[in-house]
Amino acid sequence: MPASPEAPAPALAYLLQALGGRALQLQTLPVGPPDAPPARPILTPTHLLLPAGEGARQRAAVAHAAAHLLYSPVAQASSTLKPLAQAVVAAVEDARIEQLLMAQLPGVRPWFLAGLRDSLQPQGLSFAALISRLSLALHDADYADGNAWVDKARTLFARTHRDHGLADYPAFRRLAAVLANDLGQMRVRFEPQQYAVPAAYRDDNSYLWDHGVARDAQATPLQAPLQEQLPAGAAAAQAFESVLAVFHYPEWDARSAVLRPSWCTLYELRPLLQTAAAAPPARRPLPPLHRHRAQHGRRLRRQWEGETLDLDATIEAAVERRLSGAPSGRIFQRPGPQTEAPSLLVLLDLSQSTGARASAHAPSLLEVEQEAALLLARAAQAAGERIAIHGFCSDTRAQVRYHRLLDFGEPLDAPAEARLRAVRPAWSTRLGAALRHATALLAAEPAERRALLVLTDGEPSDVDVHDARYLIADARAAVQEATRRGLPIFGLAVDAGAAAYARQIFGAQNYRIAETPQQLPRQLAALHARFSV
Amino acid sequence: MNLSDPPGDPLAAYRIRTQPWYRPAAREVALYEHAYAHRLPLMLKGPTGCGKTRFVEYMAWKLGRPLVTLACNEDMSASDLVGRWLLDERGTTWHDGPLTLAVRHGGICYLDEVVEARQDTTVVIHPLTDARRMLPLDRKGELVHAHPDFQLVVSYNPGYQSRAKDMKPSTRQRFAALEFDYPPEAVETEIVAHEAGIAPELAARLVGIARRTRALRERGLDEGASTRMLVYAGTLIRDGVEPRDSCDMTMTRALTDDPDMSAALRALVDASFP
Repeated sequence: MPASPEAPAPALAYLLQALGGRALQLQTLPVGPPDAPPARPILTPTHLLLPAGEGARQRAAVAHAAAHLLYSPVAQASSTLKPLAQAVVAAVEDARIEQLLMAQLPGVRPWFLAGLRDSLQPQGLSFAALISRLSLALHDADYADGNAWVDKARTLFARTHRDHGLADYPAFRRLAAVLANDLGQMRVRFEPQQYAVPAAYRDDNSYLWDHGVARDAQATPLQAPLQEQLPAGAAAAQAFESVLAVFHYPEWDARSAVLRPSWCTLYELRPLLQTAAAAPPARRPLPPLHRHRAQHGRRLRRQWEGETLDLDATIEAAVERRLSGAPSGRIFQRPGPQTEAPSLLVLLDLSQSTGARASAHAPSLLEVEQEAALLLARAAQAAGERIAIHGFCSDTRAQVRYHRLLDFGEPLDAPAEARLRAVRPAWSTRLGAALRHATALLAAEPAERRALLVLTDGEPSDVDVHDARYLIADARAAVQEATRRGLPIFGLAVDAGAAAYARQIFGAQNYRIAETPQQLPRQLAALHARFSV
Repeated sequence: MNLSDPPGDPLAAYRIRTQPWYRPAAREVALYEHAYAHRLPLMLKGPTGCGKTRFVEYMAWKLGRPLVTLACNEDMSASDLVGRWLLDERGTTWHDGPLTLAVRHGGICYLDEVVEARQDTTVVIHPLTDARRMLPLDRKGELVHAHPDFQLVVSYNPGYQSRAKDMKPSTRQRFAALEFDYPPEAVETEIVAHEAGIAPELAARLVGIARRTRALRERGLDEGASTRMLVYAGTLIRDGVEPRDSCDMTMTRALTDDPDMSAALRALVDASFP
């Protein structure tokens, strides 16, 4: 299970969505070499990459990015502009869009001003210093600068604002051209390789420019596209399994914010036992328990109010009154709340990594999972609950393998136990498709209280996906979809470093982490107790 | 109350005396009037707090009919709708339920959030919602024919449907439906300003926040902020509460328990006020 780089807080992604109206993926920018200019956020039409930093700066960065998304023209041809002019145009554009956003949301002004004051180089005359002075001067009327160029910029900006309005991008671009020309006359040196936008919360403005192909390749750090891979060598494992059915499920592509239809192929399998009882005997599933309960619905007697009179209580009350006592008013009866048996589906991660052992004699995680699931199934069935135990693993999107080890209503007898124990770890963890299938199966359960419990040992991964965040986002989408349908999903991760992704996938309240396999049974019991109260 | 003795107007308490303030968002008023002219049962769909209940009150006032409102819940039984036997010193007496009252004396019966009621409860309205227009009181052995003025209106929120909470197709097919949503920005601003008694600029800020939270509906929020929430927020601000505190209390905390989402909403509120 690869450790994922620290993900920015989900709150920032929500904020970007709310402010900018677009769903972008947020990532943390890796730390660069020490001699490089300081890292700045990078905005692309699909991603916002943020350098690690404290909360206030990241919040300002998100607001600034939202302003770009809302107001900036994207990917303008940069070929006609010198690098210095590009940087000036970008600085003026940053000021323009921030003022547009501040007009809408005045509360962001202090966010921006704090960042600009932090980066101010008060008396500096280098290009970066002048830009830092310009940026603050354009926003803060109380800031007195005194530099002729900065003051001219301030006057021109105010005039353009007044005459053309902030929405007029070409007018501000003309203004920037004048300012850039002045800097050229002043012989201010500009070194593109060493320059970073002074304000740390502002992005590097690569969003604004289309540099042509050559520079684009290095400017946008996007992942390689998904590689299509065909399933290989599946036949060997299938010797002992029968394919029950084939399903197709969509997958959420967070980068382009589309649900790819029928993207994953899921095979529903049933392990065949090589033992004497090769074919599982045709058994009749137990009927759902709550049906019985509903028919013998408990009636609450001697109530203050109810649908019908409780005849015994009524007669008693009448007699009481004849005896001129004080009759109790509790003479009604009504159906009591039906305590329905909940249905629980436990989904086991069967990927290759669950087979790893800490030492030669220690049980593998899968073995712990199996034992814990068996214990849980026995306890649940004894309590009259309906429980199913399924497992999954994947080998690219073309082959998600879903094992129905124990189905709802199936008694946990010796063959069932043997079947559960016989399953072997293999391949990877494409969680989203498995969740969608489990959700569909659970939705068919008649009980009103239903829940899905996922046991996993690491973040989702698959060999045809190089960005783990893609599968995390997909799994998250699957969880949210299920929650909307009234099917809560809880996650139990046996991975000390699971907090980041488990929280993203299952939501803040709905996951637990077992640091070691030994803690698994207890955590599982705790989750089960919470769900079946 | 007995059948023979209602002097005057048994639905007097349900009459709406003063005009409720309602700002139409589209043609819903005219459409409702057409539906009422033919006494069609109506279903109002729409998210929480977008003005469904206010609309019904307004229409009842406009048409001069009493409005019998019932908030549905899971524990509601058929007797809560149609009535039941009660015991007094002479023995048992029948007590009309709110639905029966409206049916007998010609009111508009409004079942709010009808999907919250159990499906076997809502079945009692079936004979009222087709050409028969009658209500059998089987416990009493009476068949009530609906007063010519009677109309049935139900509302529900399609946002959080689950398999467990949905109307039976046989029930929903009996209704004509009007779909509501949060009104357009300018209209919503007007509504919030009027209802909360605040300046239009402040109302516009609140509406801006709400529209941005509604963008998060698919991404972690079950529902965005409703118009009603904005009215609450505005009311508290008018009362002197600091805007950020007011929004925190009426929106952020009411919308979510998730700490990440709360942080994002709080930042959004912070961004919206000077």
